[in-house]
Amino acid sequence: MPETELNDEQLVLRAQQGNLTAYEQLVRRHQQGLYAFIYRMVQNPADAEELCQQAFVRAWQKLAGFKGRSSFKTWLYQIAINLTLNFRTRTRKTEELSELQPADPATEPEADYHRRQQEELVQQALLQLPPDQRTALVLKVYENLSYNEIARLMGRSVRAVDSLLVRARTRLKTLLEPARQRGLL
Amino acid sequence: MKTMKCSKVLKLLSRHLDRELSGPEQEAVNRHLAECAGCRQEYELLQSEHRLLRSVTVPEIPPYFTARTLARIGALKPASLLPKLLWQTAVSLLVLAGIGLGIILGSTLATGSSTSPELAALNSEPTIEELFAPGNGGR
Ligand SMILES: [Zn+2]
Repeated sequence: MPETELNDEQLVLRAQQGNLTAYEQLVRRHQQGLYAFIYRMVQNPADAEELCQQAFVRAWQKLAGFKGRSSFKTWLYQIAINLTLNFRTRTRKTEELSELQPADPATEPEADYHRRQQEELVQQALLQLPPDQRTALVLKVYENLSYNEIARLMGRSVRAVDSLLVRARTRLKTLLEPARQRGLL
Repeated sequence: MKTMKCSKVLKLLSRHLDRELSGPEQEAVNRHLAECAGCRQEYELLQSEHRLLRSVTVPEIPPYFTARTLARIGALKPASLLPKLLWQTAVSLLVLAGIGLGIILGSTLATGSSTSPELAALNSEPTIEELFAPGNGGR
């Protein structure tokens, strides 16, 4: 049976026996989702790629210890979360934010520029959050996981996840307030 | 039934947004929001923040990501990651490569030249994929 037709569980079993083609299929299947998740955590394409590669390499190295108690995806995300929590994000200074390349009307319509500026502001605000708050928020907003699932992934209680999300949202509101006042959002 | 206090409602808005409240709690919050403009405004702000976050796009994963990742795995120390059988295959291949190296070394010594492209090629270790890819299938 070709690898593309196997489910994750079957691919993991093959990969655990050293079958790199099976593992390659797992990488292909999960790379876009994992990259997006990590990108939202670090907001930098180069760092996101590096961490995403590290996550897949580490998962391969630890694959023998994976007992299938959770899905491969959950296990992979756990590895990625540990990596990103230990990673120092590169925050840009707020002065740099206002120096965002101005729109060139010839190539970029005003609306696109506005949108780009808005994204930049949100990304920078996200980066200002403490890593555990950011993790909980990203898992909620973009991965749409339940508190229970987030709690399991982060090794925290449901109550702690709730508290992380409340604090993250309050902080985000404060961080984005100046931009809101200036009519940028 | 007496409506919930604003301070209590404000604490529940985040869970309300995420549909994590119990049935009765959710009902109580909804009832309060219908009556209280202040809390309603807070909730709308929370919703717009959520939409704003959702609107941020993510770039495509770089091309060759898979290839680069697998190359990295291939460059790991084989003993730590491969089952015994494959490891033995690797060893025997390297031994064969060593014999080849000996032959070439011998011939280059004979011709007096100190470097040769063949020698360089033999010195660069094959990656794990090159060694074990079963016909490069699955693409
Ligand atoms: Zn109220």
